[in-house]
Amino acid sequence: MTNRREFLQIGLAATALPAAGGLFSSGAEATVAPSVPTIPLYKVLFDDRFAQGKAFGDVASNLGLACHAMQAGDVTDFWYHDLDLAWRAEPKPIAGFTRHGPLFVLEHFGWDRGLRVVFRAEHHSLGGGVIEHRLSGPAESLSTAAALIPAGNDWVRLMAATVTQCAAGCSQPAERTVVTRGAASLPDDETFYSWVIAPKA
Amino acid sequence: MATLPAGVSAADFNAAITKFKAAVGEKHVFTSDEDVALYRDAYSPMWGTPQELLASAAVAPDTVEQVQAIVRAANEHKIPLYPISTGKNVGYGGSAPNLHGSVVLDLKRMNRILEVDDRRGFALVEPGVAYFDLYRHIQEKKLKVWIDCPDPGWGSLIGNSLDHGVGYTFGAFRDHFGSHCGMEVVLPNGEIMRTGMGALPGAKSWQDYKYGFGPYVDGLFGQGNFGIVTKMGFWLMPEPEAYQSGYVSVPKRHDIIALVDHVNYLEHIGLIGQPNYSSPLGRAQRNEPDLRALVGKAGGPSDEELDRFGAAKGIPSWEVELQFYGPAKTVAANWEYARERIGASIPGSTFRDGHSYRFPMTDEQKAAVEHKVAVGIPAMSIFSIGARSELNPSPTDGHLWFAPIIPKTGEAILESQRAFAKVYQEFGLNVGGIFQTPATWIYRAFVMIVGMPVSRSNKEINAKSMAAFKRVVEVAAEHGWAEYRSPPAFADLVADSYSYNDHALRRFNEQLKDAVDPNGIIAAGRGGIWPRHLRGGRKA
Ligand SMILES: Cc1cc2nc3c(=O)[nH]c(=O)nc-3n(C[C@H](O)[C@H](O)[C@H](O)COP(=O)(O)OP(=O)(O)OC[C@H]3O[C@@H](n4cnc5c(N)ncnc54)[C@H](O)[C@@H]3O)c2cc1C
Repeated sequence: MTNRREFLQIGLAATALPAAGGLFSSGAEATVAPSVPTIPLYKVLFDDRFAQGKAFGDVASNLGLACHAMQAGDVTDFWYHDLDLAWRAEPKPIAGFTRHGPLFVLEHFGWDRGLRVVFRAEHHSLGGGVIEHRLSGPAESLSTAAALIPAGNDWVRLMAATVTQCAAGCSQPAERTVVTRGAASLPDDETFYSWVIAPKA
Repeated sequence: MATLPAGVSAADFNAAITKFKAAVGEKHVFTSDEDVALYRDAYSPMWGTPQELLASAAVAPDTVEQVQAIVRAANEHKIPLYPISTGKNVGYGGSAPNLHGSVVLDLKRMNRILEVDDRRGFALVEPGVAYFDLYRHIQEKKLKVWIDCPDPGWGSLIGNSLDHGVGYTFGAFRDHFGSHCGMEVVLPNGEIMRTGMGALPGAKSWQDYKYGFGPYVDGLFGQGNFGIVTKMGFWLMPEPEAYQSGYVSVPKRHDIIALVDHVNYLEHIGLIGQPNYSSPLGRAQRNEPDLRALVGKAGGPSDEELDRFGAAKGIPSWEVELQFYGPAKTVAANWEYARERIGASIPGSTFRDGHSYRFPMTDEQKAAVEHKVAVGIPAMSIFSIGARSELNPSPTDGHLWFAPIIPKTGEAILESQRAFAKVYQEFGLNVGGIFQTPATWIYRAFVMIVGMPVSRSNKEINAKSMAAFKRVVEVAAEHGWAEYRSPPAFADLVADSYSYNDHALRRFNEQLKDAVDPNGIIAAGRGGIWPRHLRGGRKA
């Protein structure tokens, strides 16, 4: 292997998944809105190269939220043309369903403007349709999601509903881990993240 | 309670924090665990271990006067400070200090673009100005200059250049420290100094002429710890009319020698920007099991065996992308000249056109450019391509950049491939190898960079990477090669290899350190330079 680019690039081809229509027909858009006030989102970001990302974006836009599909999983366009300008005026909450890179970048950009990741769910495929979901965030949002996910519901839609209606004002995040089997699987050994970045409480 | 710097009492630390608060305001001094954690090195191979290098607090001034007040208070209470600009030095230490317990002096709030002149071609900026910020300023003002930026656009011109960072356009601009002109520095005693022509009160050419009169001291502040840079000038490239890239392939392994010589000529005479080398034969391993078997055989393949394989399959050993910038007419003529020159000299060389652009570009055209930094557009796309692979098992946890400098010749490429591959194999690291081509950011040298994997969950991976790093630094030094840049965890190791005449260079630097910063408050350990009280008794 040669340069940084090649070092990072290798392996991407093996994990890219074509967008598959019909994967998310379970209609599991359960409302997981907590009883407390929720975080008002400025935008929802998703990776539309993946069927899971598209489904996430669908739920968010059905909820009437402004969405942004990243170009090739890259946050540059969103950052330069949108978020940097928006955050210069006022730090506003955002949510998303992405791979690690965009979350890493936006989390760091957020730190510089007084925002923090307040909800993070790591969805890691263990192979054979088994996915481990490690959740951290407001206890109320977490317990609803954690209860609904393993009950055969479509976890992608549930996560979309959870992060877009995430409980506000949480200072002490809770943590939960749940495992799903079969439904809406990910490519083996692949990890996606659902997240909310919001101004520091 | 914060991790105190070694040898500093809680009373002194608290007194300094009170003075920092008086200088910058309470809300810009960070002492809570949650806030200080933001300065951890996200890619640290020592993450979560007692060896991890952590800050004790952070303070974020907004003006040079505030920086001076902080430095004076730090001197009074002997508090080690670690200045950062945007603090995005991931892979080389992030925002974390070389000395555990240092207070990070976070200069992000000082983010004013003081001047951009597109006739004389320079910018004068503060430390918190990121490449994205300067780019936006230039676009909004429709100035006819380009920036040269590293792959991630979120870093700062000052922080990146002070770590000898590099970019992707023309040679003179890719060397970010080399393309700076004039600095303002807060010295360890709190005094402000301006370098070059800036030392002349009312200077009219601070950003035009680097040297001023007398010794050129700017070098002390790059990878050094002699002061805090609060302003810096940078030369900017005029916006060209056109860009054209072209690919040259050569069949045999040893053709790399002539190829590099031709490409050096084209680059050093000013016809091309950054050349990008790669190995089509190396890439073919993915689909060619016979080639994988050949490469993996005991003792490795000979060059002749590889040439035979390449010839049978029609796969060239090497390829280089040439990038031409300038008027549309000369760009086309230069590409034609390069084809003629190389074609006449290397049998079997082949050529194909690459991308072609005209400037200025529309937003749609910019969005379609694959490697944006090659045309001066900052991006973050490099963070979207990290995927788990055998080569990089925990991409989310980062990597250590091992970045050794070798001469800019084909012979050095071939020699270093084999020398480094042996070490990587010994440690079971799937990096480098006999098809590795150099990074070419540095104008007059090659960098055989590899990223060694880091993992937060598998400490064995870190132990392996750290052991391999140590060994490969030694092997490099045995061959007369050494690193241009290093994560803090390896700064001493790398500095140790620059040992000519019983470490005369380090002894000189440390003599200066003792004179300029007797309390050792600025970035102790950076560049392998330690204040007297932290040298652990070593003389050099
Ligand atoms: C995927 C990836 C790709 C990368 N690609 C590149 C690349 O193409 N080119 C490249 O050069 N790097 C690259 N890097 C490394 C790094 O991310 C960049 O160099 C980045 O610009 C450095 O961060 P920064 O600009 O915020 O500097 P900072 O982190 O602010 O500064 C770097 C260091 O300089 C010193 N310093 C900073 N400011 C001051 C000051 N005002 N006074 C005194 N000392 C100071 C400090 O010791 C500090 O730690 C890459 C990293 C990754 C992970």
